[in-house]
Order: sequence, then C-alpha cells, then structure tokens
Amino acid sequence: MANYSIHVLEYSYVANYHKSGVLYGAHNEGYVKLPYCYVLIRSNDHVALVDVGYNHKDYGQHLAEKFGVENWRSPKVVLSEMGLTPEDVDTIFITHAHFDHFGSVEDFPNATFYIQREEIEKWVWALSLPDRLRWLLIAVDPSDILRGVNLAAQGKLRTVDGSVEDVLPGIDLHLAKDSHTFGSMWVTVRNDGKPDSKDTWVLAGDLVYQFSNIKNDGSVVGVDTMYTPVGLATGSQMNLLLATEEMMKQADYDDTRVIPIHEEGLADRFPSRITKENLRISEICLADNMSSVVS
Amino acid sequence: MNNTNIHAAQCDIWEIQDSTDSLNTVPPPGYSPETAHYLTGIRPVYDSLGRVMAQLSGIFLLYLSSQQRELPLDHSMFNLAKKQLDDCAEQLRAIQVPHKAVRHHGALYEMCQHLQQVSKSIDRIGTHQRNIFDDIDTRHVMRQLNKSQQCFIATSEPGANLSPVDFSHACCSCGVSKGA
Repeated sequence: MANYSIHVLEYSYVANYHKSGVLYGAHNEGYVKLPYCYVLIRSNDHVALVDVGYNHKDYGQHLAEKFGVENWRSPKVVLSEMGLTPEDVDTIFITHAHFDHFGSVEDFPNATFYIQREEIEKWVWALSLPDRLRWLLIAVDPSDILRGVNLAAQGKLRTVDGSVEDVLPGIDLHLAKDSHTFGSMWVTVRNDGKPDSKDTWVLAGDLVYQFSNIKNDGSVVGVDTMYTPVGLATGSQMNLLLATEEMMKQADYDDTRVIPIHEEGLADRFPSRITKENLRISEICLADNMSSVVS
Repeated sequence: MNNTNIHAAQCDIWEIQDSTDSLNTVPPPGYSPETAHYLTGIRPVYDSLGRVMAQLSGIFLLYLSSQQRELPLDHSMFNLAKKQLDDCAEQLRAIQVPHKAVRHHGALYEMCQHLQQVSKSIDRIGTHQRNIFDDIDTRHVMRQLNKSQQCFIATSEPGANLSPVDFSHACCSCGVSKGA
C-alpha cells in the first residue's frame, strides 16, 4: 500500500555549476548542471510541497544575468503540469531558509508552512553579528524572514523543534542542526504509514545535493564508496555526514530512497519527462490509486 | 539563542576593529562621480537597514510562532539592533546627497523611520512588562515592517552592490558568471 505519490519538479537550473560546490573538495573537476526543484507529495487527502523555490520578481533578472540561473518558471506554471494550482497546496515543509527554498511563499495562499525554529533563531542571532561575519548570512533574503512574519501572523507558519512524527499521516520532519544551515530539515515519508515502514522515502533538502554526496569514490581512504558532504556548510561537514547517515538508516541503507533535489541524474533512476517549458518532472513513486504523469 | 554554545551578540570576542570598510571604497562603475560616491557611502547603511529589518522581523516571527505567545526577546540582541538603527539614522543625516539620489536617500530615510516605529513598539512592551501584543500592536508592527521592506526593495541597486541577498556564496553563485 502506498499512500503518497512523490514527484520532483524542476523550476529553474544553473547550466554550468562548479562541481566543488556540489561535492566538498572536488576542486578543478569541471562543471555539472544544477537543477533547482521542489518536491510534490500528493495523496487523496493532501497536496504538500517540500520547499517553494525563489521569488523571481524580486531578483530573478539579477540572478540570471550574474550567476546564470536559467529558465525560471512560476509555481503556477510548474504545478499546472501536474494538474494542480498553487491554491491546491495545503502543506509546505521548508527545509531551510535560503532564498531558493523559502522565497516564493506568497504564491501559496492556502498552505500551512513548517520550518525548524532553530533555523529562524540562529539567523536572527547571525544578523546581529559584525560585518566581518557576514558569510554566515549567505543566501538569506531579509525579505524572506519578513514573509515568514506575514505567514505567522495569519497562523500559517508552524515552527518545529527537532523531530516531529506524523505531521501529515506517515510524514515526519527531522532536524539536522548546524549542518548545511543552522537548522536544516529533511522530510521522511513512510509511504505505507507504518512506524517501521518498509516503504520509506527521504527527501533530503540541501543536506544532499546529488547522488555523489551519498556514494562517492572512497579510494582516497581505502574504501569503495563513502559519504562526501556538499560544498556549502554554515555548520559543519561532520554534521552533514551524520545527517546523511541518519537519512540512510531511515531508508534501510538503500541509497535510491534518499532523494537529492539538485540531481540531474534523477532522470536516469526514475521515470521522468521534460515539459514544454524544458523542465524535468521525475516520478519517485506513485500512490496506489494514481496514474503516472510522466508516461 | 541563550542556550547555545556560541558567542552571544554582545560578547567581548566581537569587539575587535572591523576591517571590512575597505571593501566599500571602490566606486561602482556606470554612475556619475557624485552618484558613485553617494552609492559607495550609502552601501553600509543600506546593508545595516536590511539586517535590522530582518532582525526585528525574526524576533517578531519567533513571538508570533511561539505556542506561549511570549516575546522571546534577547535584550542584548534587540539593543544591538536599536543601536544599529540609531547609527543608520545618524549616517543618513551625515551623508552628502547628490541631486539624482535624493529620492533614493529619502526612501532609505523612510525605511529607517518605519523600523524605528517597530523598535519602539517592541521597546514599549519591554518597558511595560507586557509580553502579549494585542491585534492592534501586531497590525502596527507588521504594517511598519512591510513598509520598510517596500523601501528596501525600492532602494536596491544591484549594479552598485545594493542587493537584498548576498549571492556570492549561494547555491547559484558557482554558475558561470555572465556579468563578470
């Protein structure tokens, strides 16, 4: 029995991204494509998203011109490929407060948002530090925090302290403290709804960018493969690895069950299609009563 | 914030001379000398106002999302935000404004005033030992925060590095730069 369909929806991409940004220590190893995506989790009762992308109207042109972020499409366009509108989304899990994950919250008027309290608290702390420590504030848009205020005032923002089970039936949230960011979060879907699920999917946020973060060449330390953290950690690489271990444990060490959203190779592992907007939809799994949207 | 093993905002460890001012001395290209001089001088104020807006927003967000509805105010941090705001007001008064930048400067000044309103509202709660906002207070703070954000967006000037987000180490920043 599978309760949820899970799809990874691309909404933009960087065509040429330094591999060292994806994989810690991979200097001078060229470029990879970096898709920007959010994840749709859908059942008969709920339409949920993991992250919401960024708000293009504020700084999209700047990003496109300076950093090569291409082909941005709004949630309305992206979700229409799934037969949905942003108004249909009732639940949104924000994995962390970087602009490309937390920026487009105003597009979802009927959703309740979840974010780790640790993420907000430490951003506020970091904002109070001297300029020479501004590296801690990379990729955070002050306006996004204000958007969070607007959500909270409407009773639509729930801050989470650590791990929470069954936020929606069979869906759990987990904190990876001081890792990619201060309070990054991953989402675990127990798709059979059982506490000791045998059908678990882990939606990793930015704790894992690509497959190589889970299964990288380990010859340098004399093993076949090893975890290797992403290139950006506001916290520590160690905490990224420990979070990876915990995610893999939840997935019974089946690395195909830990889903990285910046992975172009999802198309090789899961049924996928390219939309008329030249963006990818990858079908991670289907609920029992739902039909494929990629075949 | 108080229960973490990290230095608080008021910790002595931060009290060493800031050496980042030199980063702001290169005039942005494509502007008249007067405007470029103004933009170079105003950048630290713009950045500080954005940060204060985010700090006050964050403090208010934590209050709004708290089950107990208590203001989780780290007073030293809040006081630091107030001091930054005072410094911004002073710098805005002191800076020489060329004719072409009058509206830009005016918008930043307006942003500063909105944030001072927010700061006063939060301060008033502390003074009166009142930890519960009523709806009027909430609406007032939000209105002032949203107005300050409108000013912040309006005064962005990416060509002069007045940008709401530091993208230089963001997920996108390793992309091949088209603008460099």
